[in-house]
Formats: sequence, structure tokens, C-alpha cells
Amino acid sequence: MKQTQAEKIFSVFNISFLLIFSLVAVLPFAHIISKSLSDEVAVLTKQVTLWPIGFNLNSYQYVVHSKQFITSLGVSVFVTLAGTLISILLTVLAAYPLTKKDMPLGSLISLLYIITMFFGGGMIPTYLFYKQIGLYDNIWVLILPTAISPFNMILMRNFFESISPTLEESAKMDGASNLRILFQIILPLSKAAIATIGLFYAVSYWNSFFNALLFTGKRSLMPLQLYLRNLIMSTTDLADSDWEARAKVSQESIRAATIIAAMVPILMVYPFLQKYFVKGVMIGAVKG
Amino acid sequence: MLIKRMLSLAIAVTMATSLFVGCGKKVEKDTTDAVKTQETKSYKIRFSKSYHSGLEEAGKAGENIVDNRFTQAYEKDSGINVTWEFQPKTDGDQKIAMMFAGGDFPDLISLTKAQAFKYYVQGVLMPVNELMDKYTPEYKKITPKEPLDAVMQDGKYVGFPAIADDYTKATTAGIIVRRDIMNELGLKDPKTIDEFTALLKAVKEKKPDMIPLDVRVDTNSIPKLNPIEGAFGVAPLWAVSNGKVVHNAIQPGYKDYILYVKSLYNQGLINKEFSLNKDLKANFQSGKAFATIGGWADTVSSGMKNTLLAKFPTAKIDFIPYPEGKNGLKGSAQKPPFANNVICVPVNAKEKEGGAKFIDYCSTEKAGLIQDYGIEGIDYKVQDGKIATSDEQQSKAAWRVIYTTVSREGSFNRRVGLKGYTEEFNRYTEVCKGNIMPDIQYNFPPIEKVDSVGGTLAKHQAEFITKVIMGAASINDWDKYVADFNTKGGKDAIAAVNEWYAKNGKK
Amino acid sequence: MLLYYIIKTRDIQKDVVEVETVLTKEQKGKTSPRPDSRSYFQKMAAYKELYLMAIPGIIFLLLFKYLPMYGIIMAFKNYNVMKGIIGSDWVGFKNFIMLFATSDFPLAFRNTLILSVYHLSWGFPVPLIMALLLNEVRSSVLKRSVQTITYIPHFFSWVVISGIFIDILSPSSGIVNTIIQAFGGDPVFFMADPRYIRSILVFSSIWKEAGWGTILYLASITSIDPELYQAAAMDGAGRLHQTWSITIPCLLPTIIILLIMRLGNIMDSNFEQVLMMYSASVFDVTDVIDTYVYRVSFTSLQFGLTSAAGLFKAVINCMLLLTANHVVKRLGGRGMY
Repeated sequence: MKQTQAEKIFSVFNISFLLIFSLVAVLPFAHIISKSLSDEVAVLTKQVTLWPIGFNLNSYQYVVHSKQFITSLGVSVFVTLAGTLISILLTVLAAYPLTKKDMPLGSLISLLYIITMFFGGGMIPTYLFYKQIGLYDNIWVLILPTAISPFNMILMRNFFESISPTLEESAKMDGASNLRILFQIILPLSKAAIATIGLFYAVSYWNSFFNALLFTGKRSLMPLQLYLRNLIMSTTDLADSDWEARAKVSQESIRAATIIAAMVPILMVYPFLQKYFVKGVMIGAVKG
Repeated sequence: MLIKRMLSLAIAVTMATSLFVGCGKKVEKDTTDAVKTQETKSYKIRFSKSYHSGLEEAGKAGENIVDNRFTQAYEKDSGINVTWEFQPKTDGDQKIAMMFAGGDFPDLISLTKAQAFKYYVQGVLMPVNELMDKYTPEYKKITPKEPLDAVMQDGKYVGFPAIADDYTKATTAGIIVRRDIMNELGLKDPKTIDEFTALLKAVKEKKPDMIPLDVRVDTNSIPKLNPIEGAFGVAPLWAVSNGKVVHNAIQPGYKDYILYVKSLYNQGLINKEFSLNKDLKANFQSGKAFATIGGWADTVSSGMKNTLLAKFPTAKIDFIPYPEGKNGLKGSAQKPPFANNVICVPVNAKEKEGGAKFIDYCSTEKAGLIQDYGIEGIDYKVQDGKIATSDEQQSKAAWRVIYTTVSREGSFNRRVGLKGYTEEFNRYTEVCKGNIMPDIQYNFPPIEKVDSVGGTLAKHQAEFITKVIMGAASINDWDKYVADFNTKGGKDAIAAVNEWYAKNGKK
Repeated sequence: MLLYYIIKTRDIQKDVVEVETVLTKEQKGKTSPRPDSRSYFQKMAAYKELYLMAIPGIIFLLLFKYLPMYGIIMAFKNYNVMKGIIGSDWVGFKNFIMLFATSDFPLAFRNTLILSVYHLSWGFPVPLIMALLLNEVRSSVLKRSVQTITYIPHFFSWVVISGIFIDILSPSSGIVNTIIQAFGGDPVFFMADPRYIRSILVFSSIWKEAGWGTILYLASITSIDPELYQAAAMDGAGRLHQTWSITIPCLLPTIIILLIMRLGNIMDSNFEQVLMMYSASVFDVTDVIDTYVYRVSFTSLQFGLTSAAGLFKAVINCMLLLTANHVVKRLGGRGMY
């Protein structure tokens, strides 16, 4: 299909606008990366803008060279991978039945999920409960409590509903069970949905630290985000009387390095998922 | 069919895993049982300490924080096996509340003063007077009266305060300046507040690109200008005037103080963006500021020394004396008489005697040596009756401070000396001599009427002073400001403190 | 506008069903499905496999969410650690009164609402529009790179982003003021100006989340049947018309769900953002419920207060969501439950 004149002009504006937007988004990123690779004096005298000055890897060495870094990295990677897999499985199983609008109690179940988005018992009853079932100081406390996000579940349900119902009906008439329909028909057509929701879960697991802070004490269970937070000692954290720590306030370049170290691994996930965001997944689905 | 079976299996596995979660304690334990005590009368206690930045250094050095040469030395000397636990860096409050709520009581726990009182009143902690009398003679020897009084509630001590050595000698803040610039411009130390203004003006004239006085705000958004507040007699938050307790934020002197700062602002002598500036060092370190407000520890930080000196090799960081206001008032508020920690004993602690004995051990000379210098032979050696050590040895052992529990007299000086800060510290104490203004907020226990409105009053104060300085409000609103301060809870708070003072305050 | 779209969606979906029914009929030679006349229990029996699928999720909910929910009563108690939640003294609404009967609270409430509504009205369409624009980009490489880059700010914490904005807007060294001065103007201290600070808060927040927000919409766009576009093109519709009459209506269920959820967040504010970016001269317009509660409960160390505040926000949020949902269902939309 050929583009009309108007469409060509629009394209130009569109691309320019998007490029400007990207540029604005990338500038702070470039700034922080530069700070992390620069000489501390240059950073503090505000000479560093978009390019490193006095290039060195000291800050990253500082962040990376402790054994705790490796341990924490391992914890985060495991929690993210296992958590995402478990979450996707549970979310898919939970969302699919809710797409059947005439299933009795379906509305009620959805409502049950929604209510938990607002009301919670708070930390103390949660903690008591985890202790009782042995989840305290256990790696699964970083995964199980957040295994299903009602928000993500509703989005998943939404995605499922956008798939043409006639496909299911044909399969039903051929005698397929619900489970089979889910796994052999719905899921293959939901690649974009799974990629998206999976990404949401992965980012959430990767960035989480609060559960670890409250419900674990062992340093061997410390996720990367918590480790990085502890690494940064800023003056605002300190009491006026804490002279030993005040004398050792963290360098700006180290702070920048921790920020980058926290972000980059998860940033690299999305490009791999983009291939699932391809249009035309449905081609031939109905005809076949 | 196959898919169905696989799915059922997956579901079963997921559910089974969650059931067996409790048994899955396979994750490595931090505590090793390698250290066994062979003494006959040995104790085993659990000590929950607050977070310390040294923890990260220990981790970096690859040390096991619950079992290393320091913990072993403590155990050998005292006969007490200590399980060290550390509270998180942030949200410690939540974690402690959860711990107690879950019936988890360590034998010793470091808490802030506010936490200590709160949990004491709730019945979680026990008064330690008896323990102190029976088991901690050393501790009693080295602890002066003031910190102990600060943790007293109805005649009982809520815990063992850890002393801060330097509170009799140093204030919370002084005026840090670039001595080299003063020398360059032939400027002398100011004596009065007017001379101080003149000093700033001279700097602004000759060095128009510099900020004469860099000001920042604290977490409540109140500008940190304690030495200036001192010149107007309003340095500490609470003070005693004519036998009654007053809140300095609504004293007449505070009005004069605000006007003074406003005049500085209007003459361009302080940074225009002070209300957003939370960083003490940024401008001073980069050489942009001539003066700032801080303590001696801020002048020796690596950032200050390395950055400033890297760019300006001839720079010299120093303090100027406190400027004197009318009525000869000058100075800054005292530091808290104890380090931010009180070591408390829960009512349900299992090993109270052992805990108290450990505190007593920490107060001994021997423990002091470990805390101050490390392990003899590894971190230092004794030559001709004196301690000899190297910077390298010390930096490798720097993380031992995470175990520091009680501070002996002189320990502070020793540690300062080891780090090479003695000169700066002495210079600072020289400036502070005679200028330390007492702050009674450290004397009274947490009072509900005061604490419940603390944040609100601070915000009110911050708003007024900031707006007046920047011109968004007029100083003529002072009376309304005071009236509102009182209605927002200030009046009740002041009355409550006076009530306490009438019963317990002396001097 | 919204009404128009909802009605349009119904029409589109009817067309879609029609097309598919035609195709099915052609292939299978069967008639359209009969209305379901089974009884309630018969349905449940037929759906038993689905119930099995729903069970892990329900167990999860009951165990991890509903079991600890009794903690809500902490808002009505003077919590004492030794007595536990159940044993602590009941104080009724005392915590709520302590929270609300101050002169600062109404202001905080008002600011929260204003900021949320401001953010909603300007910020909600942005990811959608960006997704539509991105959809029009033909080069796949360009599309993917732009997407990856624009979602980076989502990952920065507010500590970082607020630092950047404060720097850029600084009256002494910020680039914006440098430009203003180059044009002969006077520098403006934006961050300390009550007239500008709200816009700064809202704008920085929109900018931060725009790229991330497009991901969901783009994913939804991929599941639109391309045959619809082909059919429209054959009828002579240009790209703009196609977007208007196909893309948007098909995205409508997603849009509505997101809108309802946003309304269910109206009492929440970006605590970290506000804390980092506000200062004494703009307390009047930027103090929100979250910062207010933080301040009040910080010194008083009372647990009841934070619970009470949380409960208050939750009730309002929930009511808003349920109302919005109800309205949507009345208009024929899908709704959240």
C-alpha cells in the first residue's frame, strides 16, 4: 500500500517527535553512566555532563568486588527467574477461568482479587503468619507472597478475552478440554501478553527489596537492590553524632555506579522480548 | 492426556513446594558452630545491634560478620558467646516492631532513645537498675551521670546508654571556612555577628563567583544555621529562661534571627537555593562556597580533602570562632550526651545475666583495646609500652567498629588519633570551648504531647522562616505565626515539658 | 467522547463476530451457537475444570492476602506490642481523629486530589498516543530502539530523577534559566515557586512513565486481527481513519481497565517524588496525604496512625474504583469483575 503525501509528512513529524523524546530519555542515562565512569573530583566539580572525564572503572570495582555482591546477584537472579515463571503460570491459570463470563461465581472471584489491591492486613500479621509457616528467613518469602498480582491478572484476563471466541468454540466442538484449549490455543496466541506480563513481573521481582528487608535477616538472602542501597552512605542518612560514618560519605561516582548496576541487567531483558510484539499473530488462526 | 497430566503435575508441584517451604531451610547458615565454649560458666546471648556502615566493609573483606577474629577475641576474653544480629539500615522501626510482635526477644538490643522509652512504657523492656547494680560494676565506673539521667523514667533506667565521648567538648556544628581565602584577602576572624556579615561581604566583593555562606536544610526543611542561631540565643530547640522551659522557635530572639538571615539572603550572601539544598558538601567541596556549617567530622571526610585539595592544592579548611550577637550571646547547641543507642533488655530475654555481664565486659580495658585498636599481633603491637600500628593495618581492621558497644573515656580520642584526625578535632574543640549551649531535649523522656506534634511544628517553623527569607511572606506575620504555632499543639507541648521540668529539672 | 467509543466498540465487535461467524459457517457449515439454558448447578458441573484452574490462585489469595487481613483493626486500636493486635486496647476512631482534626490535613487532602487529577488528565493519554505513534513507524529497528530507550526513565528512582530536574531548573546554574537569560529574561526559581511546582511534579512523572506505559498498549495492538485493517483499507480508509475506527476501539477494553485502575489510585501519590522535590516554600501546594502522614507519625512512633491513614485512603480508592466500574458496566462495557 503506497503512502499518500499526507502520510509521508506525518511520518516525518512522527519520527522526529519520537527521536526527540528518545533523546530526552537517554540524556540522563548517559549522564549517570558518565558519572559512574569518571574521576570523583570531576564529578563533584560538576564537570561531567554527558561524557566521562578521567575514565576509570574504580566505582564499578568497588561495587562488584565484595563477595556479598555475588551472593546478592545470585539471589536476585534466582528470585527473578523462578518468580517470573511461577507468577506467569499462576496468573495464566487464574485469569483464564475468569474469561468465561457465564461461569457462576466468576464475578465474585474477580472481586476477591480486586479487594486485595486495596486492603491488606499490614506488616505485623503478615510477619506472624510467615513465621508460623516457616517463610521467615527463607528464600521463598521473596517469591510466594507476590506470586500473583491482581493488576497483572486482570490484564491477562483482558488479553485472553481479546482472542476471538470462535476459536475456542471450534475447539470445544472438536471435544478439547479447557486445559487443552488454554495451552494449545490461547497461549500460543498470547505471546505478546505473556511477554508483557512476564516483563512486568520480572521487573517487579528484580526491583523488590522491601520483603527481603522485613522478612529476612540472613545476609545470604539479601537481594541485589538491598545490597546496593546499603552500599550508599549519604549524609542525609546520618545522625549529626555519627562522626565515623560522616567522615566516610560515599562518593558520587560510586552512587552512580550502583544506580547503573541496579538497572542494566533488567533493561537488557526487554529487547529480547520485543520479537513477541509482532503484529499479525492472528493471521490464519481463524481460517485454519 | 499428556498436557493435562503435565499440568496437574505442575500444579501439584507448586502446591507441594509451598507446603514444604517450611522444611526448605537448606540455605546456608551464617553462623558456624565452630566456636565452642569450653568454660564451665559460659553464657550464650543474642545481641541485636543497629546498622553500621562497617558491615559493608566487613563483607568486602570477605569476613563472616558473626565469626571472625574480633568476635572470637570477645568470646575468649569474656566467656560469653554472642550471636550478633544487625538491624537493617532503613525501616529499622518496622523490623523491631515485627520482631517483638512475633515474640522474638533478643537478650540485648540497641534502640534509639525514643524507641527505648516507647517499648519500656509498653512493657516490652525491663528496667536495668538491678542488673546494673549486680552485674556491671565496670560499666557504672565509666558512665557519667548525665547520659544515665537521660534514659531515666520514674527513677528507673530503661537501658544502658552508650556514651558519646565528645559531648562535653564539641557542639553539633560550627562555621567551616576556607582559611586560605581569608589569608589571601587579608581577612581576620570576626568577633561579632556584624563582623561576620562584613567578612561575607568582603568575600563576595573580591570573589564574586563564590557563594559566601552555603546553607542547607535538614529533613524537616529547617535551615541548619545553629552557630548563627546561637548569636541570637536560640540555638537549642528547647531552653530554660527565667526558670521556665521555652521553645526557641517562638522566642523573640528567633524573630531577630530570621531578619538577620533574610538580610544575608537579600545581599546575596547565602545561596539562593538553600531551601532545596540538603547536601552539606557539594558546594564547599567543589570550591564554590567560601563557608558552610558543619561539624569537625565533615571537614576530614575523604570527599572534602580529596576533592577540594585536588582542585585547590593550597586550600585550607578551618573553623572560625562563633560570632557574638547582642547581649554577648554566642555558640551552638550541645551534642547528645550519649551515642544514639541505648542497649536494652527485653522482659522476656532468656539470658539477662549474660547480657548484663557482656555489657560489663565491653566496659573493661581489655575490650576497649579491641574496640580501639584491634587484635594484638595482627592489627597492632606493643612497643616500649606504647601502641604501634600502621595505616594499612588499621584500614584492614576498620570494620571492627560494628561491634563497639560501650565507649570508654578516651576511647574516642584514641580512635580519632588513629585515623589522624586529632589535629582537626582539637582545633574544633578549641573553637567550641565555652560556647556549648545546653539542650534540655536530651534530658526529658519522650512526652506524648511533644512527640505527637513534633513534625507538624517543625513544618510550621520551616515554612515561616523560608517564606520570610525568600520574600514570600512578611515578618509582620510573626504574631500570627506564634499564635498558630501554639494552636497546632505548641502550647500543650510546652506546658507538658514544663510539667516535667517542675518535677525533675534542676539547675 | 468515551461514550462514543464504547458504542463504537460494540458496533465493531458486532462486525467482528459477524465476519467470524460467516467464516465459521463457511467452513464448518454449522449454525450460530444456541443460547445457554442450563441451570446454575449444571453450569458449575460443566465448568469444573475451570474451577480447578482457579483454585491455586484462590488458595494464594486466602493464604497470603485474606488471612492476615485482620490486621486492619489496628487502625482502631492503640497497638501495644506485648498485647498483640487482638489484645490491644480498642480506641475506636481516635487515630482517625488525631489524623484528620489538624489544620494541615484538609490541605494535604486537597493537594493529593489536585495532583492526582492533574496527573490523570494530562498523563493518561500520553502512553496511548505514543503507542499509536510508534505503531505507525514502519521501520522495525527504529520502532524497537525508540521503545527501548524511552522506557529507561521508568527504572531510575526518584532520588535520581529529582536530582536531575533540580539541576536543570536551578536558577543559578540550570540550563533552562540559562536559556531564559540569553533571551533577556530573569532567572526563575521554578522549584520553589508555588505556581510552577505542581506542573513540574506532574510533568516529570509523566515523562518518567511514558515509555513504560506504551508497552502494554503496543502488546494489545499486536493482538488486533490484521484482517480488519485489510478490510478497512480495501474500503479506502487511510491510516488515520483506520487508527480511529479500528485500533482505538479494539484497545478500548484495555484503556477502560487502566482508567478504572487509575481512578482506584487517586488517593495515592508518588511519595518518594514529592519528598525529594518539595521544599518549605511550596508546602502549601505539594504537601500530600502521604507526606503528611509520614511527618506526623515519624516523631510519634504510633502504629495506629499509619494504619488509619492507609485504611482511609483504601476506602476512598476502593469506592472510586467500584463506582467507575459500575458506570462502565452500565454503559455496556466489560468492567473489572
